[in-house]
Amino acid sequence: MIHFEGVSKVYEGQTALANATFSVERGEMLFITGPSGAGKSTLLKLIYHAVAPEEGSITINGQRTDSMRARHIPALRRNIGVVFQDFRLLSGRTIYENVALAMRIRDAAEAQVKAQVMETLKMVGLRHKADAYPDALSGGEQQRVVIARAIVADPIIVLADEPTGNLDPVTAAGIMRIFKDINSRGTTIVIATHNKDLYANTGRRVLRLDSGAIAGEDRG
Amino acid sequence: MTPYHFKSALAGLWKEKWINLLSTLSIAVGLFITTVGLLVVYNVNSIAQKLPDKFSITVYLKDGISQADTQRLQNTIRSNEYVRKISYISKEDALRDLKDSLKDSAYVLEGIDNNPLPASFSIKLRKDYVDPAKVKRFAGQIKAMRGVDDIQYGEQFLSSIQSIMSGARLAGLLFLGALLVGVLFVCYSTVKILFYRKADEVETLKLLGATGWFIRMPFLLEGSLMGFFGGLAAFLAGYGVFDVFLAGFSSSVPAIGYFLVPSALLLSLPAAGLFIGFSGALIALGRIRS
Repeated sequence: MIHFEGVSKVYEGQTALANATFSVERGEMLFITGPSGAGKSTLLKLIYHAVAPEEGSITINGQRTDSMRARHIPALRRNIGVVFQDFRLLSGRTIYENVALAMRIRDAAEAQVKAQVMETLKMVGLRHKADAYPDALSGGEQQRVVIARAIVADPIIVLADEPTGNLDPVTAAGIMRIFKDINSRGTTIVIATHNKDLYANTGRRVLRLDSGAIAGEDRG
Repeated sequence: MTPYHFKSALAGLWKEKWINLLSTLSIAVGLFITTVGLLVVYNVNSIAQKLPDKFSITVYLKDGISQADTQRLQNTIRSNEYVRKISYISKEDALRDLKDSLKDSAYVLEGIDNNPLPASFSIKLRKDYVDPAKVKRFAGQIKAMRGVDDIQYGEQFLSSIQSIMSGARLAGLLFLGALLVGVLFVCYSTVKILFYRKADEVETLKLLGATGWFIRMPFLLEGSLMGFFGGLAAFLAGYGVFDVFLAGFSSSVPAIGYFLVPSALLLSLPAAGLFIGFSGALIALGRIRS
């Protein structure tokens, strides 16, 4: 589903990712771990083409994306749901509107938008907060809204950047249950985290990054 | 365009209502002044259209010219392609006209035994030939004819009116062009500011996979709506000033009644505003890079 071949990314002379080669199978749940600045976020950004690599090739769902034309990028991103580390919720819009945005971008009919947004909000336990604004929600609740927005349109890949960042263990466990749930329906998931508790005893593949290089691979 | 885009645009307009209101008023003022300018150009033009009807040439005949020669001369002039209408004014007619025009002062003519006034032709030209160069050439031809004593027409008047008309038209068009660019710039800068203020939101939309048009649409609608409402305000102001205020005054100042205000011009203001608002926004947004 995702294949990196010798991919390197440099920011102003600083190597963020060096010669990375790895694959993620369809329906897999992969963890990427490593200390801050190891290149986890860069790796995810390369997948949804927020940045382009200097070297190497990236193939997503059978399509080369590293040298893709700008006008094809929106279509690529519509196949990928992203749980951003900084959330990127629109503060002037309600929770419902924030989640619905992901479907409106895909030109979904209004009835379908309503049905799917409400169902997804129910899944993340926030149906009762549909009319609230992001600022009125706790960090854990906002995190779940971002997850809802990432999965509402049934993307083939979900990327999550530190999805349990500052959350307490109980909330973090709840969020992981949501990821397992959507993964069990066949969605490929890549989670970048430095929280060992997330992948410990899961039996999932864990890719270790260190200073921009792939330092090894384990099973959680 | 979907209901979502429309709702987003309205929400955007409301959220930044003060800057948007100011922009809308600037558009309204710009369009209103443009309308006044257009009306001046329009009226100058309509006067210019009527001018050839008023313009006439007087051909004075030599004293003692025979009736047959007069008739021949009239026929010759009438057959000229320049001439729309020719009328003969006999010596007696000329004196009667003079007396009529002097009215109470007609006594100054008492004691004159011989009628000193010459017989004449009054010539009206076809519209297309009322032009300083053509009239001069025509006058030269007539003057050379036998039996013609002198010829008179407002040569100076004709050429100065012509140059004033073309000058006014050019100045008016340049002025209008500058104003329209100004109005366009108001729309451009307003949308540009809105776009910058929403830079974060735009970035998020891009990362979620929105296309350039999806992102642009609310901004285009905001620009168009501001333009439309600016045009509507200019229409209401124009209607108030020209149709109500001026019409009220025309009973006491009749000249105002001659000022023509085509209602199509006023009615087209909201559409013109919408078009300018849309264009300004489109230029402001430019290309959106993914």
